Amino acid sequence: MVPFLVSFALVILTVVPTRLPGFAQISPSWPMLGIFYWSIYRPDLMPLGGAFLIGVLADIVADTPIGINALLFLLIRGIVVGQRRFFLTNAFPMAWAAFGVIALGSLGLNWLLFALVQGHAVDPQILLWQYVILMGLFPLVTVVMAYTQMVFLKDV
Amino acid sequence: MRIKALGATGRLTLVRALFHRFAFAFLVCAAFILMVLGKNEGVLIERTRAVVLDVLTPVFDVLSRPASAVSNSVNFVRDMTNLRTENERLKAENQRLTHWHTVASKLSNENTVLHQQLNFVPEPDPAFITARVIGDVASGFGQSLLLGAGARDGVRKGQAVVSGENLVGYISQVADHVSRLLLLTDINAHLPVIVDSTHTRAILSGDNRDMPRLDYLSGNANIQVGDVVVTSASGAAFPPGLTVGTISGVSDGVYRVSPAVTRDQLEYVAIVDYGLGGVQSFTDKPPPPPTRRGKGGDAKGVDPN
Repeated sequence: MVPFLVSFALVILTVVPTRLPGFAQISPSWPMLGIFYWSIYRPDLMPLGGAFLIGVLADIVADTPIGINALLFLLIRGIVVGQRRFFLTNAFPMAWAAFGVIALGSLGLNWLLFALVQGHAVDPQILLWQYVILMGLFPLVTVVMAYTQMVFLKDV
Repeated sequence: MRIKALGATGRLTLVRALFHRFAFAFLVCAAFILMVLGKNEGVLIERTRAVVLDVLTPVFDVLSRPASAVSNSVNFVRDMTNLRTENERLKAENQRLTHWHTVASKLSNENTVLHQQLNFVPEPDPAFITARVIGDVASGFGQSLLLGAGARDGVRKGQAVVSGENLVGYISQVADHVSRLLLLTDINAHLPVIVDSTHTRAILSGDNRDMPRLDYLSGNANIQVGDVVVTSASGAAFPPGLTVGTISGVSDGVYRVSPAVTRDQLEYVAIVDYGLGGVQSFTDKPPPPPTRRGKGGDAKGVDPN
């Protein structure tokens, strides 16, 4: 349950008001970081259904067209689990770079699906900022989740 | 033959693998089905959204409090450092305001006399609900706030949300205990407005950037940077004259409006029932006819989609 709960907490984190001028417009997709981490280290505890559910919750909370994040998180989980050996054998910077590629693809697909469902496209420039922040947060969130894994899932 | 050769464990693994592959395809299909259902704004999807938001409201409520505390302390430190300049600014402002106070009381007396002479029936003050901001949704895909008041408190879809005399946005989603305030910067927010100084009519459209744009400007506008933009009576959505923001600039022929209220200033907002239609989607049922204002008018709003 821990991976699911941590990812769920990240969904909630997307709507906690920071009241920091400027930051609000560009807050990143926190749960994506959770799905990515747990798919590498504990895919058994973050099954497809879990990723799907986190995605649906993220869509409901963020008021994005329902199903988009669900699909993206499913795909991320699928790709990461497929390439798990790569992530487990390579050093952190490589995982970071690989996350960069996956996150970019995910944002691109999100942009496309949003445009298809909503009928109008958003300015890619804002998404670029969102991407930069997401990449910056990656090491921080990874450390927090590694710590969570050590504390709660040491013996599991 | 090959399956037989796998043995019991092998067969089990095969079935498991097939199941996993099937589960992936099934869930991907489910995601697409949800997208299609959600696009049609089905009752079921809307109801599910409302129920989930209701269940999560206590969590949002608790988590938004430390955020307020942190923000208050940051403001406190900032205020302390700016004390001297702030004091000078306030002195100057006070001087200006004293002058305006004299003018206002003179005008108020004159207004009372004129009202009496005309037997003017004053409009009732609109009913309002004050709600706390408990969630802030901000991404390149949407700009909204979650408010800690819902249908049980009398919040209805389409109602205006103001802070002071400034329009912040309108209610786009209502659950029992929580509602969603669509900010004017959201890509789905569209609102009829007037540029006050030139009386130019336009539609204010958000695009998820900090400053919404002005579309469909009427006439040859001589709009200047700094001009005030207010709500218009068109569409019978909101009462005219609520401040929306000021013109911040023009690029490629598109005017941008700097909203009068920025989201990071908001802790409490007022959800106001002006007795008008509010901004409604065409797919929504029409609101009940206005009872408080005699003029009536059809309550058709602007399609936010």
